[in-house]
Amino acid sequence: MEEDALWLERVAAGDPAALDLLFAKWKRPLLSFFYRHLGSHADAEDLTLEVFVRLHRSAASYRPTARFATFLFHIARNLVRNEYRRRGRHPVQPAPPDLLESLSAATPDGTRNLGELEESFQAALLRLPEEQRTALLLILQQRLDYPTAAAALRRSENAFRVLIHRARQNLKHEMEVRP
Amino acid sequence: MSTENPRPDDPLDSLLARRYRETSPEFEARWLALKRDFRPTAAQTRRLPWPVAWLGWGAIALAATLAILLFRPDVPLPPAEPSPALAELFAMDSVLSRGTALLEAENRDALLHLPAPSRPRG
Repeated sequence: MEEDALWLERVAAGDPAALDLLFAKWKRPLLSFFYRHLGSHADAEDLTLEVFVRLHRSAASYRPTARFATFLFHIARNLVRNEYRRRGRHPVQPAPPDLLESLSAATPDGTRNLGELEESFQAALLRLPEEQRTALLLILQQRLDYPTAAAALRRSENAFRVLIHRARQNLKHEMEVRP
Repeated sequence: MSTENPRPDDPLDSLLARRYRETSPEFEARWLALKRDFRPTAAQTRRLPWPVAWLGWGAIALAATLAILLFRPDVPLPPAEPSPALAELFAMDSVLSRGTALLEAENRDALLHLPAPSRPRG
């Protein structure tokens, strides 16, 4: 059984240290996932904490039939969709730059300000359909393998690969038309 | 986590791959406060250590057995074999029953359950 699933079993048995282990491992991946989805640092923090509330609540009924990451990001995606339904528009609230990884490798030509690049990228990402954005984030940000990521979206692996291809094209297009 | 996906080299992929390097102190403080509010889940309150659980099940089984023994319905005794002496009497009774019964039904049942006298050997 996966390490995370074992920790969640211990959570169900009432071991608070196991929840701390899960929190330590997944808090930054989840914050990153929510931040890219919502463009709001405060909302990313709120939803990350909400994931752990839900993990604690569902620990007793969890059955490790799928990868833990599939289970975790299924919860995370549901929270994102609920958040989209709850609020009509998405006010952007950038994360403090010192909390994010550096972007030196991401500068395409060195002529653009990193802050501007980040801003236009985030805006382009938010214009993608939610499912395409989730697919890209699961693969490129969370570095999940294709079967695990596809399962989180309830897609076949082939359908998921098509979705990734389309999402990449759309994102490039969005960056080109509104750089 | 994947071993399938190579490190991104496209600038857009690098931007997508960008993650939080650390969390804010406020966020960590909120987590600590939230944890204190967590209540034991239903399963946590149900689950007992296995020796306690086994003792509990044993007590339930014992109580059920005692209840059956104390309150069981009266089971009719199996029909007894008449002793040879009584068999002779019953044979006479069946022959003469068309006249006057030698033994009333009540007495006959009572006699059936008398222990047979042991015959001296000899």
